[in-house]
Amino acid sequence: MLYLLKKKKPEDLEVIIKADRHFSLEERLITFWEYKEHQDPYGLIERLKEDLEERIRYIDLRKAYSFRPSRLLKTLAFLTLILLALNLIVSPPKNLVSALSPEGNEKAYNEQKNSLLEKKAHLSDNVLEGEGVKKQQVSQEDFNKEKVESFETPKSLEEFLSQWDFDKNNAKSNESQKESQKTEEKKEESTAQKEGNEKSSIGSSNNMPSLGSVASGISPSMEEGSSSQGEKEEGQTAGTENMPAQSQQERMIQAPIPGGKVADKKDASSSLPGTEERNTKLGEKESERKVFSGENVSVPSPQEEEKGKNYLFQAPTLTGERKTVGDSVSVSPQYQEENPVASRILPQEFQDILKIYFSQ
Amino acid sequence: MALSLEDFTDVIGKIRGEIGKVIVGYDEIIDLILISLLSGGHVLLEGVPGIGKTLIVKTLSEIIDLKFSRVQFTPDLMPADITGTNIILEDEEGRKHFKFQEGPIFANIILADEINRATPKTQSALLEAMQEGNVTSGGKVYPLPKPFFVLATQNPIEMEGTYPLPEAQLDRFFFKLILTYPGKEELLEIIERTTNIEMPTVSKVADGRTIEELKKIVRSVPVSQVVKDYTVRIILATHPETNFATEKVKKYVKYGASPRGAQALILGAKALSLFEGRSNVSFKDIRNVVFPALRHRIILSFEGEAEGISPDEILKDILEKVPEV
Repeated sequence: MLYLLKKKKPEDLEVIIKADRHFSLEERLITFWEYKEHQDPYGLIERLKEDLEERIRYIDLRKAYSFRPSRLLKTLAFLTLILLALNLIVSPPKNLVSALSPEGNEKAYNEQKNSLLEKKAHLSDNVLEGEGVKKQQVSQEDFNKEKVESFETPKSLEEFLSQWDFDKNNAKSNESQKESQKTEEKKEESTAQKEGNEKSSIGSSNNMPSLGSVASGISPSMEEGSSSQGEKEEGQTAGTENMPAQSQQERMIQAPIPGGKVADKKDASSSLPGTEERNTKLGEKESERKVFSGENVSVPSPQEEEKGKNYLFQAPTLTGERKTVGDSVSVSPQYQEENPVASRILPQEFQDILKIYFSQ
Repeated sequence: MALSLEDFTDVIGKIRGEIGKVIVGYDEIIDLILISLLSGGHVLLEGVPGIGKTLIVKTLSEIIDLKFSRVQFTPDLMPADITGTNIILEDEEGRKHFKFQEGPIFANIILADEINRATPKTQSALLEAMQEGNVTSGGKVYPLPKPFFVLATQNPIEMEGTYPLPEAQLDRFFFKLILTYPGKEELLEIIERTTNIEMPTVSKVADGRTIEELKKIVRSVPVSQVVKDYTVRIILATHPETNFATEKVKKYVKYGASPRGAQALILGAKALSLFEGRSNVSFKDIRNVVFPALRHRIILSFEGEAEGISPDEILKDILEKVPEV
């Protein structure tokens, strides 16, 4: 619609002005158009009309609107041609037909890709030969199978993270999964043994081996050795307090094994905390919604404001009496605590609700 | 007596022919003087002595049957010497009474020779009469005859002891024409005509009434809106404070042309179009009268004066920069 409005037929005066200028009528046509209905006591308009008719008799006014490329348009077209020609001269394509056709492009791309892969393979061969690794004949099928297995994509990010060993910076294999199963079994055994140790250690020593000392990998037999070692233990336990929060599970893993060997810490911390597999994956099971089944509490109507202002909350204030003896100031002032539920502020129904809530 | 367009062309042709018998060259100047006469304006002629300024005016008054008077402006000339004064007269019965004695200004064509030599007081007396078309003396208003046409001359070289016309009074002149020395051919012709026994004579081809009718025809020439718009843009381009002003105008012009300048452009272009055989005003007509109509209406700034810029240079720049449509 806007286009139609903009591209509407030009006004008559505009056409006349253009025609006048195009045919060099020296503003005769414009003037006649404007003054054609004016009074003409001296015959000037009539003279103008005759003069105009004589001039435009052999002129086709439609020529005023014929298309003529402007100087700018001509210059632009010329420049474009020159630039195109220069471009062809400076960097001509080797095979214009293949360069222009899509099949040719694809073929060229594949060729380029293959050549790059070959170069890369050559380079890796040279490196391996330099390290003294011998070449091994592997069939293409086996190679592909190996590749596909290595590139098996995990189902989720968590699974992927759990498969990745961040310490070694490589993916965990199925063997590591087996190892983890073994460690779990060991965990159970160690917990059972620990319980037994705890029972045996009661009464034998006042300095109970704390969880921190266990985590530090010191066996109870070593603790019994000297009292100075006990001081060291304290320092070590203090150190463990400053350690980043370790899960209870990890600490259990680090518990000493019956043979007196220290548990391998690296095995236990091979996966990041929180990256263990969930029993139920996210989105699979809908979480239960907690439905509030209490009584509906309504806000008191503003009409009650007439009785006095009702405030649901008020900043707690402490009002106390400072006990003084003579001029000296007592060191331990006593304060009377205010009832958290202010009876003078809240209406009775809210007080009841709050009492019920806090009693529960 | 109602004249037609053909009568106009005929009369103008005759006047041109008669002037051409006496004046050699200066065709353009003569046309512009006639245009000014037919537009109801006055002309300021500027030129060195001895190039025929006075002769042009004198010849014109002879061709057109009009009363001609010449006033030589000097420093001791008083306003009453131009406008006239009340004198005491005694009648037959011996009673004395005042009577207004008309000055030389009560004529159709006035030649105010070397107007810049008179004092500003005298100059303003003439210029007021030019503007108002009447003279006031002793509480009485005396109308000037019609047509009333003043041709003032000034010498640009002898500036000592002169009183250059102030800008406000220059604005009252319709055209300012600058006469230059004639060329070789023209000079030979002048010698041929004026140094023989027989002096060229002219005949009267028109009178005051005819001139008044011709003035009406000039005013009835149609002007299209686009041409009027072009004229207005030219006038605004002379004002340094407007958006239409060119860089040169902003730099060198202090004050631009007044609305009188626009009137002069349109009226002059109307008369010129009839002189060229057209009955409408074109852009070309406006351009042709820009220089005589506006050159004395542009007041240069200090920078313009210091750098020796002429108003014609400014106007040329304006004509180049202002588009027709």
